[in-house]
Amino acid sequence: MHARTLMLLTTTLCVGCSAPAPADVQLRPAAQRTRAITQQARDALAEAVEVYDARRAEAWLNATDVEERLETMFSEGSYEYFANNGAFETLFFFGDEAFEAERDRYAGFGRVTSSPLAAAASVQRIHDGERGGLDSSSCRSCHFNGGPDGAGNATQVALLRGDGVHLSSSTLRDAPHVMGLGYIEMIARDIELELEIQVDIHRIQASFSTDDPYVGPLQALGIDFGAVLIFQDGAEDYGFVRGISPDLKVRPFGHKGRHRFLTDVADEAFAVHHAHQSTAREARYTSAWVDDEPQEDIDARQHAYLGDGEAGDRDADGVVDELSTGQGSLLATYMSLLGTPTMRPPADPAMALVWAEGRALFDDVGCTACHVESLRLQTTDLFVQSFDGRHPATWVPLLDEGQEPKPSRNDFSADALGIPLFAFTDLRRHDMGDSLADDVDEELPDGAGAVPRRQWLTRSLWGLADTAPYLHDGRAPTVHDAIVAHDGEARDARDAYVNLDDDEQGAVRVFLHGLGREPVMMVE
Amino acid sequence: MRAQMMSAVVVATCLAGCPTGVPPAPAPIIVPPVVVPDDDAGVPDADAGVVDAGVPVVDAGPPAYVCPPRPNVPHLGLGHSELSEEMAQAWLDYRAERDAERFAEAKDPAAQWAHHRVEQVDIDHGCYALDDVVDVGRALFTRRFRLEEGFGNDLDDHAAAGAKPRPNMRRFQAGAFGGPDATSCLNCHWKQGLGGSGDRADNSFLFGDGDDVTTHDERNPPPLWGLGWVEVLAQEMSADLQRQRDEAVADFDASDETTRRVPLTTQGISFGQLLLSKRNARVHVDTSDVEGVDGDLVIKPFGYKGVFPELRDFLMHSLQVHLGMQAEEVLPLVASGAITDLDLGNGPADDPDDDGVERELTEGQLTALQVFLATQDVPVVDVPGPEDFAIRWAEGAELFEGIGCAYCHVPFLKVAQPTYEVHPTLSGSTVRVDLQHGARPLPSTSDDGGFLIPVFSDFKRHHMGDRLPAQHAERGVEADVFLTRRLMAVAQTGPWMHTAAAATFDEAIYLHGGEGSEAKGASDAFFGLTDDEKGAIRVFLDSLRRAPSIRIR
Repeated sequence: MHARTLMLLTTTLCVGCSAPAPADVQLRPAAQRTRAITQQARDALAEAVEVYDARRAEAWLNATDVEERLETMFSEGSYEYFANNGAFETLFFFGDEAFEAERDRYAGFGRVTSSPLAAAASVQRIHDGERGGLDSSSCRSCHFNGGPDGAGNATQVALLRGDGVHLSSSTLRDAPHVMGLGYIEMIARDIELELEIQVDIHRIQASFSTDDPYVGPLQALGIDFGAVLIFQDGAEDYGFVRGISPDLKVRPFGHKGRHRFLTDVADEAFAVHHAHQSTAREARYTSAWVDDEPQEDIDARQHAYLGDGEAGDRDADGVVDELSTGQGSLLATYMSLLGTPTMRPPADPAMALVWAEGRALFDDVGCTACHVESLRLQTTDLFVQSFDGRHPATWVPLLDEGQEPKPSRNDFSADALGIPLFAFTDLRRHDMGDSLADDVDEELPDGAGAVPRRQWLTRSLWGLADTAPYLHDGRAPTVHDAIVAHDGEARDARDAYVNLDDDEQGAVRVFLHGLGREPVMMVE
Repeated sequence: MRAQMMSAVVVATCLAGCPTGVPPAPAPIIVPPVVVPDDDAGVPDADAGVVDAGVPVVDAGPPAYVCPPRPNVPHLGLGHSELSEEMAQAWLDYRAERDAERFAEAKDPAAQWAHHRVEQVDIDHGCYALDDVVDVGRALFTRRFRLEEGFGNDLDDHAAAGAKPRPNMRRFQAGAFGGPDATSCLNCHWKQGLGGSGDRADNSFLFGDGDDVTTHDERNPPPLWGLGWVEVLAQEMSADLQRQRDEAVADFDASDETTRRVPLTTQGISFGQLLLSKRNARVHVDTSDVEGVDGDLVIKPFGYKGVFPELRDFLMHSLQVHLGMQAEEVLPLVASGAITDLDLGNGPADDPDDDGVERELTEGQLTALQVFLATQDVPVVDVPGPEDFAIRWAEGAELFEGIGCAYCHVPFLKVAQPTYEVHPTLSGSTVRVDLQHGARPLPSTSDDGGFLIPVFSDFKRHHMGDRLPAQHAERGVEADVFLTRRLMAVAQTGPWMHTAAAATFDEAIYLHGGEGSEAKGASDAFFGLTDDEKGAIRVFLDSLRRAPSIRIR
């Protein structure tokens, strides 16, 4: 084959017709360079080796005892036991294991099957409606780009809500990194609380006002959320609320602003990516959402989100009660406790100046109108919700128990209340124009209506350097491509960037590439 | 050997019809490499990079060849798999360089890309040490390619390409054109380190219509460690089989026999037999009873179905179908018909994917990628330390053989001469790398000086039955036929099988046992074992790992 290749090629090109014999070269190694060993290297190595040894021991146990794999499958009881005793380190450890664990049929991973082993071929890359995949076997599958708990690659794009067969029927979603999400959830609750208080105040003011309707502007943490209209007869109109759904709930997770709570994220991910249905999920989608809801509506919802299997095993994989509510809480707690991405300006002084220029330009061209540099945490604690809503929320004192790096108060001026979170988002939705739009509106899984096809949640930019490709479907290979693809409400800022000269554009990109994360040494 | 054959071909061809108007190029002058001053990099040793071509260095005549500076890419060199503080420091330094490169890249991507554009002619002139070439290869392997570098395509009148704006990505590949479905090699080869396997979510969807999942064959990205040794091993086995054939043909030709059966065996593995006969006083070789390898007796160790003889073939294909990065070398190979199973697009001859970028990857860059992969370490057998697990491991090793797994997953095969050769087809040069200079650990040696590679494969193709679905034949290899997967680092490369359908060893073994599978007996035997025995086999499989190595995420 190779000889044929050469011959054909030679005939065609007559390579070396006039040259002497082709080169024959031996590549030899360069001299070893000697390095000064830093304490950082010693410490990082020692820690990485310790983790490796522990993992290795775990693997032998898993190999000999199939039950061993299930140790991260927490029940509600075991989750509550650790949570109520403040054993966050333990929860983090098991959450970490669960995040990396390969899910298998034995534990109810998967769908229709006659025997757990025979189901091995049931992988489904293109999702089938809201029920989804399964398309991956661990959380880590799609959250490892740039490091543990990172983003997904181009190949790991999820193909959601399709017909199960055609790529063109599916909605593409790039997997975001999952760092710092506990703090994001806290900010979302802060905003909700603030808006709730404002609505109460507006009701009082409307009762003293002669305006019909009374227009009550809504604003929280300096971010505009439109207005509520209150009529003289007491009726309220939430049709002019902007950036969030009319129920005034902030949904900071998912590209469209889909989920309020990390438990919802975890539960849905288990269901659609691993075909792992929780007991609480079954309860949610088989019960009435409003009083006197017609049974056929409930049935339709059950069909769409769960499947038509027997009670207790709606995905009909032969495994009953395959996931407890505790499992979602465990993963939500784990993700909350993760550290945040960090700003890592260049070490080189000249490049650091470029970075500083870029930071100023990022503001000047108007990116920060939506990618708000920092939001300030008003609270210090997170309440992890249970997915079924029946168990009490778990109190997690995040600023004490969270992993490093975590947000810290680094300024103490009188007008700066709260702890800044440099997430570069306003946590609201914006119209991003036609070119970025989905084909259809996205129905929210909690019954709060749909998100219009052109609207997207402002993506937080922290950690951005390690999360290429960019945008909701990963269409942009570079930061530059991503900026240029912005449209709709971001068109002016986009144009302002495009009109910068090359050096200025470069500076903006340098700044953005400083939004990274602390490197982790691993032994694998 | 190949170079000689090639020159012979060149001479013969040119005698027949060399273009007359072309003046002869001056003979290349080969000089020692230019040593680029670099404070922290040490100095190459005395013979580093000296050309080994048997051509004397000439002092007079045309000006000496001027090497470009060493490529300015992050340095890790061969990146040995060893848990030393030196390696930990090397990785920290590498990470710092990567960070600096990232900012430089953000500021001026074109200038940064220029550092990665090594040319084959400079490699041929001995300008670079092995470490430099490996550094460039690693930088390319981890690089997310940009539109300006040729990533993707801009075709809209080519049915296979689709019609979206550049890069025109498509998660499912269309026919022989491909995606692109990835932005970097590392997208799919990431588990447990650079060059690892991919997850189920990374699976490629090949040979289909680009939309309907049922028209595609799914392939899980395999790990890429130790492939230099694998390629050399396959070449030595092929050469052995071909020698047996040639000797038998010569002997048979000289004999009075009219037919002869010639069993083919190398490294103790039977590849069936040849049937020799004579027609019109000429020897006729019937290869229909040859097993597990094509009639040309060339073992092709790459691809799930064993279709690529060399890493370079595999690279050219992967770069096209996954990334839309068209190696300059692949253009004439496709144009001449030497490669027939790739569709580059219907754009201009110099830019078939019509994205305005020519020479998307130079011949030298392809060489760098190939050398980077070839010098990756070979995974090892890492026996458990604690005694009770060591005992189970030994029991598992015995059972692995006892129930018949080792019949195809042959544990160790031997490499006699660890010289890896790179054959860039445009320059026609030969670049040699002594694999003993590659990343540690090296394979253990046998008494006769050979190297024992724990491949756990017989390098043969087998029918694998109906539990492993596939629908397309590939390069003439039937749909249900697969090369025995090497179990190198199998513990770290799950989920397993060609579609990553198996999340556990048990599932993987189960999938071997379909109707029509040559491995059905062994698979059934496994499920007849006691729980303890199955556990022992799993402990054994879990020992097939890459030596623990450092990485910074």
